[in-house]
Amino acid sequence: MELVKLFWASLVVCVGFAVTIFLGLVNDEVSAWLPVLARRIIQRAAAKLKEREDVDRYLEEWLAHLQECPGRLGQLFHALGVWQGAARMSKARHPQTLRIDVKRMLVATSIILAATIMELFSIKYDGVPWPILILYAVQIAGALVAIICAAKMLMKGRKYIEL
Amino acid sequence: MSSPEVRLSAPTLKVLKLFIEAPRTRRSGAEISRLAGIGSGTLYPLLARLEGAGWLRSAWETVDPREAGRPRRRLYAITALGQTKTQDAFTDLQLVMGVPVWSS
Repeated sequence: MELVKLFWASLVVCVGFAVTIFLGLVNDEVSAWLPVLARRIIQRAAAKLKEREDVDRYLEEWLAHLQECPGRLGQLFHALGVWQGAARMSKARHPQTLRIDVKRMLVATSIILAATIMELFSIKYDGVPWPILILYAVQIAGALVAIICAAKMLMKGRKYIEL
Repeated sequence: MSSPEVRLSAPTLKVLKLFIEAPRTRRSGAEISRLAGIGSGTLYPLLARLEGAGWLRSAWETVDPREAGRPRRRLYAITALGQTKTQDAFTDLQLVMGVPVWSS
């Protein structure tokens, strides 16, 4: 009985010892990698700015700031902050616009118009509630307006709509 | 030249307050972040906006990175336009709040 207790006690001590060593190694590893990770994040963040001049400037500026951050976690937080900030700066400098090709819009709307008209002819008028017919009429009118607008834009030489 | 609109958010006002209190002092991003209590994610877009609007200007500190053993800091300073605009903004705020902003 005493022998079994001794065995379990030794096992607990051994496991505790192993866990301590393992956690120490993990701690060393994480501590060594955090600054590298922070630098990598900053490099990627600066690259988001696209223009060479901005990339070089902010990379140096943010790395200088990194050196002044207290602690490795502080450095990581700075790097993550910079990542978030770079995305905002990039968005402010290069606002994303939705670009619609007018020719494609014209083709797509014509197909929709043709399909709607064909559908309207295929259904039987008798017994179809009038609100449904009004919906068809609205759809056809909308498509016609879009086609006319697109055609006018193409005649004026405007190939894209930017939103 | 017309400067772009600057949104006077709370972090922007904190940064401007730092500069208006010591208009001749040039400060790095790290120093501004520490003194104003603003994280990098908010600070750098804000500084870029203020610089773009002509309220702040920036320049590299005059050290050789090789000799210093670290990257150069970018130092920010308030411009004459920035001082005028900041004072106007704080005056407007005082009128609204009824208390001097400098004392807060």
